[in-house]
Amino acid sequence: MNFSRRLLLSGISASAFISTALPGVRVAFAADGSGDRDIMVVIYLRGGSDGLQMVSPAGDPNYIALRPTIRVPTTGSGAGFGLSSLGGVDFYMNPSAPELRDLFTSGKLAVVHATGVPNGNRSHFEAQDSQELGAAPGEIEPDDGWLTRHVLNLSEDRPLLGTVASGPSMPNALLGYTQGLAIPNAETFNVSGGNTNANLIRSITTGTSAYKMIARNTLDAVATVQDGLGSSANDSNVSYSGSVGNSLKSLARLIKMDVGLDVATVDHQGWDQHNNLLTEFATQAQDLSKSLAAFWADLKDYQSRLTVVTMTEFGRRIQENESEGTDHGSASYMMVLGGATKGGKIYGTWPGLAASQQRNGDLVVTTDYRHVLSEILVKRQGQAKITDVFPTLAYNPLGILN
Amino acid sequence: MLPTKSTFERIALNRVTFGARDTDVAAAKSMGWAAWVSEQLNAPAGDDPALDAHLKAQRMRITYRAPEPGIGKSWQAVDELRPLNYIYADTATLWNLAVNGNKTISPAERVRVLQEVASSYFIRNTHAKYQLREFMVDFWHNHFNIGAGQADHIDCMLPLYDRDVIRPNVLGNFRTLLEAVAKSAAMMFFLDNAESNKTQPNENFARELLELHTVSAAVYLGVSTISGGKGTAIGSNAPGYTDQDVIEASRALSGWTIEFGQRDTTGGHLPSTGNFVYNPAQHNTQAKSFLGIDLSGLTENMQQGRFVLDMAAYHPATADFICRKLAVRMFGDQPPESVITRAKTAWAANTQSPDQIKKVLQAMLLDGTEIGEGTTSKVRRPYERLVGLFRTTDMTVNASPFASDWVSGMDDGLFVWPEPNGRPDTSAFWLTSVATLGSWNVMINAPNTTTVVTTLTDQTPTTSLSTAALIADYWIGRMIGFQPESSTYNALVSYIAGAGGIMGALKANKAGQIEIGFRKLVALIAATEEFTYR
Repeated sequence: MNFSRRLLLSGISASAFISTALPGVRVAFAADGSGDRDIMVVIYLRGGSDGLQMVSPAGDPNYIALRPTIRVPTTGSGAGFGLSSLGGVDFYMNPSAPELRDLFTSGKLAVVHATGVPNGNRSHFEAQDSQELGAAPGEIEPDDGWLTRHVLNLSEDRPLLGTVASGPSMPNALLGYTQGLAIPNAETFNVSGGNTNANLIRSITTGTSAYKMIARNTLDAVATVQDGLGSSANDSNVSYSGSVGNSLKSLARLIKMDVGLDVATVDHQGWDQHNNLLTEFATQAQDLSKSLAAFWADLKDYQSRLTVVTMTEFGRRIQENESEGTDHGSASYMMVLGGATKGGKIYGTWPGLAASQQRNGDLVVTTDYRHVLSEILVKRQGQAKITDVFPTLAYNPLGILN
Repeated sequence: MLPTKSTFERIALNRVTFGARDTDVAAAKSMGWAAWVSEQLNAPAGDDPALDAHLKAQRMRITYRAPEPGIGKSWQAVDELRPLNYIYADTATLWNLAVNGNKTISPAERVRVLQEVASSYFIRNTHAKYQLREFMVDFWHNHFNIGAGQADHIDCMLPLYDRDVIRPNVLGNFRTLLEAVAKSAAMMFFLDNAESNKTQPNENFARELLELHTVSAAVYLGVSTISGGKGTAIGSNAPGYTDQDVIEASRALSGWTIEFGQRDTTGGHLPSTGNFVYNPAQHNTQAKSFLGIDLSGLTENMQQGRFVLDMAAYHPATADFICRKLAVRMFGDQPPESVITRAKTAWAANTQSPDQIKKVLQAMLLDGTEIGEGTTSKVRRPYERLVGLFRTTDMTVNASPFASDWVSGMDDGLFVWPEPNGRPDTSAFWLTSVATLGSWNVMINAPNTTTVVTTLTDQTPTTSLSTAALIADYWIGRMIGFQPESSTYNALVSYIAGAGGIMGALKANKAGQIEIGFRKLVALIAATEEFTYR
């Protein structure tokens, strides 16, 4: 980030800018605080993505019996892509996600199966809160997000654009972090009327209240992003798909501005497929697959320090319902894509689909989602005190990352 | 000179309307707060002729071409200025649009339905005389949220959802409102109950009925095959619900559906009308108990489903959940407990009253003075900021295909929040760079569009035109009602007096520039902290 350039754009002096900071409140303007830390992107698949459709035990007789209409076949038209096995069961990538299969095959993408909140519940909003605040069931929920605790621990001096939600709102994972910025589209992140209006708004929002702080951070971020648009490359002939693609495309642009962005979140809505799952899941899987591959290619110069993880609040009931969809369940999957990922492998413990192996009709959670996240934070983000982030979890990495 | 503090009436009005205008404050002062509330709560149906006339006078362009020949589609090209017909349309007309599948009706007509619903909503919220009712319309729409743009069956039935389901019940009885929502085509398709069936009922609606519409996640006891309830009767305080209760509720409500041509009991098919119907062929009879109460004796048509709605609506946790939510909507993240306590008492005492919700509002607004007191700590969401700007400056809003788009990029678009939970109603959710920047931009831009008519120059008294400070005082007085922080105030005066400001335009006597200068001034005032919190 070019500090002097930003102040020039904002039209106020350096001393005036610094003097507005409250004691203890970080107004971050470090040149590039990223060091050798990875850029971590957390993609949340909202609605409960069906792990048995995305990374499918397609040949398992129980799966075939319980999903007669919607199952992923192992052969013939619409067959899944064979990946690897876990616990003696062969898994297949959803046929709408060939790019994810390619990333898996090339060793960049790892899958963790049967992940989630152990003994979690089937409410979208409860399960999402539980995960984003980083608590387990029965624990008192913290009043801030797991990413908030992480970034507050990283550095006293985070860059202004160090933590970005690439979308229209801040996720609860960043609840309580007042320095985070939501930027849905870098290209249009500007004040109407340009600097004249930006400076007028700055003049009426001097002060230290919550609103004035976010107003000032926003104006500073606008100046930085507008500055960066002039000097960074747009996407390099890759094709993103759907709304998650728009978010990832904008995020890639911000990363290429080299403004110290190293923690980002992306929401991918629309995974709650109670009916007509075959059609709707295909669209969702295709958008995610194409867009992740595009993001990876777009950031070819950053791959060695990029780690992307997907998570979802729960999986679905093993048995399909009569509307050709699936109702809320328990375990699902996570994916980890990155330069340091030991990919091409399915991690975790497969619980099995037989009646005796289910939890009220659900796939049992055998890997706490926090194990995957904490491994990324410790190994790739330099988190020295992981117990500050997940206080009740013993650090126990699965070995997904170098 | 501006007063240093707001007044009881202005604070109170801003908590239960889309923005207190000077004229509203004066009316509430002169008739008294209690009389103002009473007038709002007892408005005769149809008593807003100015609003009705404004809606009827709207003409919004619709343009599309005829389809290419030979692809099995046929309709005429259209290019016309058309009234908002769909918001007055009957079920048959709207259902016909929903099921046409682009055969003889252009998809642009379905888009038009949403544009009309959003436009009329914008116009009503801005211009309705009965603002407390609009406030409650908005509250219940968010409580029983439906996200458009996910299926034609949902989108096309939204005019009915707004007009016939939500609006007639906003001040009425909660149990009545709940059943109207449960039977509405829009909700039936949004949460899949229309396609639920006998063999394996779809749990989507039943779950959200409990979690989001009634007793709430606060009493969700998790995944279990044992009911969470030890209820003894309707209205008794069962400890909570488990997944077993969700499953039992989904069984009880199976067979509640919309006529879309599905199979009936005789092996034939139901007609396709878009109307609610109970289809015994798809009613699952396995439900044994719900929240601890035996359902097996309830064998009449719809009896089990109605019993589930009774249990949920009359449960004390529902009163807790909704009364607190309503207080948060008015006061902000930390509403006074005294208001919530009174609301819950009124709620419980009036569960059978046709005007239960009105009684709850009276208890909240009139049986104490909290509503006009304390710090204003409710962050206006972007839509409220924009409507508040329109109202406090007497701008006139007309129908526009883009009405919803104005705020959709800030997660605040009309009828497009995708999840059944509705938008979060917390300060933190709206104190983000997106909502902040987006609000500024739409408040700068919207008044300059042809959708909005402004008369700011004409409204400014000539006696106020002589100095920048007087101009600032006049418009701050209208929009905020008291003196903002001095640095903010001085910056506003500097803008008016400075290069490109209003004084220069007045001196040059350029009418267009003057009006544009005023538009920027009111957008800036709306970007102050004092306006952002209500």
